[in-house]
Amino acid sequence: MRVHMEQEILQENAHQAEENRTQFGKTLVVNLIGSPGCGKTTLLEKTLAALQREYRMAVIEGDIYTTKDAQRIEVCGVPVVQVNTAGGCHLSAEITAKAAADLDLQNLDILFIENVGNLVCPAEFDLGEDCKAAVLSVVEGDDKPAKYPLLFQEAGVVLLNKCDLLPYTNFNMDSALADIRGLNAEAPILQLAAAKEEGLEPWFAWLRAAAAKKREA
Amino acid sequence: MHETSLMQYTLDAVEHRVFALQMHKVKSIDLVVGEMRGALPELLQEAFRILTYARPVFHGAQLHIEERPVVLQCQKCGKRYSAADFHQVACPDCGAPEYAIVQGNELYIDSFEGE
Repeated sequence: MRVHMEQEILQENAHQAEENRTQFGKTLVVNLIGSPGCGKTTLLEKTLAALQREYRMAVIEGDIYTTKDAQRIEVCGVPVVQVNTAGGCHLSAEITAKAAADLDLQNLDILFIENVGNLVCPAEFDLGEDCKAAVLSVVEGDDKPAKYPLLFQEAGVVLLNKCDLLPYTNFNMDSALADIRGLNAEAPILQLAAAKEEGLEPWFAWLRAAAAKKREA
Repeated sequence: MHETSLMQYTLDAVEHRVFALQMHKVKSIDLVVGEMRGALPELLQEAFRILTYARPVFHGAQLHIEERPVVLQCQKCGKRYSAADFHQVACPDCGAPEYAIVQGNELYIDSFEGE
């Protein structure tokens, strides 16, 4: 007997993501996705330091192994939960729910989830976030949006990092911007250099606006 | 790389339905996978082979994967076209770069055959 299902493969994950969304309440949740070494943790360090007086923030750190990133976040003085996927290439809604259970969600304005460093798989999994933030460092090459289209299609904001290194690369900014725009007509595309603390203000402004919108929702 | 996760979700969902229908055996599963999803059919097959090993209800079952290529639709003139990749995309008729992805995002279990 043939049984017609027409069911999303990720339906179970989507259900858990919706539950997470309810749990997150009025907390803005940003899912940071990018390759290993693109600067996600550095971006977080700078963001936490700059916004600490304005917002109550926390971080879920997804890594395959080690607590190195969590240690870097911990010294910033915000609550951090480390998740080790032990080989898993992405976080799921279920893993996120377990990690979030260790956080005082009622007293948080912004929760950052730093996904496992990977430009492909994390884009597929809804964690219950409000927004996926795609982080691409210019040293990775301007061809990456076209090669990894799903993330750039799904992103609510795109951060082009390490722009201070542009003179040392053959990164064609116009080409990258056009390819991202094709995939995603809406998301703001911000150029910055997190380690140098350059161009961070538009990112902070975006976070402030998103946090305010979530609070009022 | 996430094909193993996808297959785990697939088998869980099908098995759930099989038991709800008081069936005992799955003969085949039909998936529809869009090109955008970055899930390779070969790796899905590999994951299927490994993950069904310890699940008797799937023993001897076949996995059929229908791949859906990406189809774009021009936002200016409405022309549907395919593109080799997402670099310098332009409508072959009017040249406009704005497009919508109208096919290629699929990722679902279409049906299964059981008894």
